[in-house]
Amino acid sequence: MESISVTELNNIIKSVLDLSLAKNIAVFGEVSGVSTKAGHAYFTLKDKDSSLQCNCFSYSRTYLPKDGESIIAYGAVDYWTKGGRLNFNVKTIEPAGKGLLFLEFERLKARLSAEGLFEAAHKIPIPKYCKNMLVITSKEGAVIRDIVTTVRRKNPLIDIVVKDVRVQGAQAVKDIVSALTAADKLGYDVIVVARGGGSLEDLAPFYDEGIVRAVYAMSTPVVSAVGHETDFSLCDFAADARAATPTAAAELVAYDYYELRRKIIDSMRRIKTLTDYALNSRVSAFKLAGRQLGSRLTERLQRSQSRIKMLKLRAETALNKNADLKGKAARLNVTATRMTETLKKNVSEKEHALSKLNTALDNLNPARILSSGYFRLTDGLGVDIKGVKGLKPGDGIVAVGHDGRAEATVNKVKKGVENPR
Amino acid sequence: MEFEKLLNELEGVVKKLESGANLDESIELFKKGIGLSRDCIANLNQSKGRILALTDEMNNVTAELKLDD
Repeated sequence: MESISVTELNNIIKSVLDLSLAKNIAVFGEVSGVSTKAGHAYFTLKDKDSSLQCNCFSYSRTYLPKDGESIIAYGAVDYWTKGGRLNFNVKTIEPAGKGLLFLEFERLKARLSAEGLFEAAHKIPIPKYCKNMLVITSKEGAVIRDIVTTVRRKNPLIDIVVKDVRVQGAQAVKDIVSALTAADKLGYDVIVVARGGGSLEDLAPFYDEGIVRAVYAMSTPVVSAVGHETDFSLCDFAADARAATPTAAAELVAYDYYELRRKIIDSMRRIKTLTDYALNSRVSAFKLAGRQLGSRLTERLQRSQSRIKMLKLRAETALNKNADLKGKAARLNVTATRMTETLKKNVSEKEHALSKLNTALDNLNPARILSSGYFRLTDGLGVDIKGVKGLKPGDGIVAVGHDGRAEATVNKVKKGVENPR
Repeated sequence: MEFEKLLNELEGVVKKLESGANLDESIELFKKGIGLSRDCIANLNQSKGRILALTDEMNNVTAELKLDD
């Protein structure tokens, strides 16, 4: 088997101890063999079966116990490698009766925990942006001032309502339980139960089963801020959130109004930028579409207009062609002319016929015959002589010419016709 | 009466006249022809006026369409 040095072994033991034990342990026991040297105290802590070597450096900061006194020693296990000894380095000592109280608390805690009062599943989330808060604490002291100051530093809007209760002594549990129960019906966003640090006895009400059950039963979120950072009360375990100090509770509950405001303003700016961009791009697209539509419409309109013009022209042309006023006028004119011409012709034909008849008639005019050298013969009585029959020589006859008359006597009568030429 | 009917009638009168009527008949036909011619011209003028009015109306309608821009 391989061997290791003492130092190596001690170092291993120390590292195992460091790893496996908490740095802050509370040990209950009876003190014996107290000795002091250069401000440090050394003693043994024991119960009926075991003992533990304890060192307390600078005991004046805490409490120097006497032999036979029961104490709770808060500290950490340390392995002194040089001497190969295990010591309990005590930081804080609490005397006697407190030890019993502490044990009682531990038993109560175990019982309530087994009952499920501290389970995470039961816890109600603290609202991220609460509008109001109820602080159940004493009006006296720094606690309420610290809470108000801290909340106001972050947020000017949250309503802070304070319910003044006794946080110490016999009446404290009753006060706090009734304050919690009454407040649960009032619709607060969050309730803070707060108390400054103090001794275990001072904090005793916050280890009370009544308060623990009241906190557990709340339907309003409860923040517990009891004592200082190292103090854990049962109220802390039952609450929906635990703050190490009242100031921390205020930090936890109040949202940062100024930060939120800045974020909102930033977001609004971004939204505006984005919407402006989106709007502008859509507006340009719309304008473009509008222009395209417009030019298409104009084009179509122009096409329609020229079609209408063409149709109008065709209609007018067709109307004029069908009406054919000139043709009709011409036809009428031709017909009228024909009529006039025909009438003229008819009249002139009649005139011509008449004139021929006149001429013929004229030719038959006795005066016209006489004027061409013929004479009309009558007997003495004026009876026309139509032939030689009845005439005998010696008969007196009258010859009438166109310019006068001559009386003559028949010399000779000879019958038969002779050619006058 | 329709222009064509009037004109046909006038042509009938002229044909009769051409076929050689006696003078009195001719004069009567001519007189009738003058009446028919007058009716024809009146009809023609009326048509002309109506066509002008319709063309005007057409121009007004198309002007409303703002054809000439």
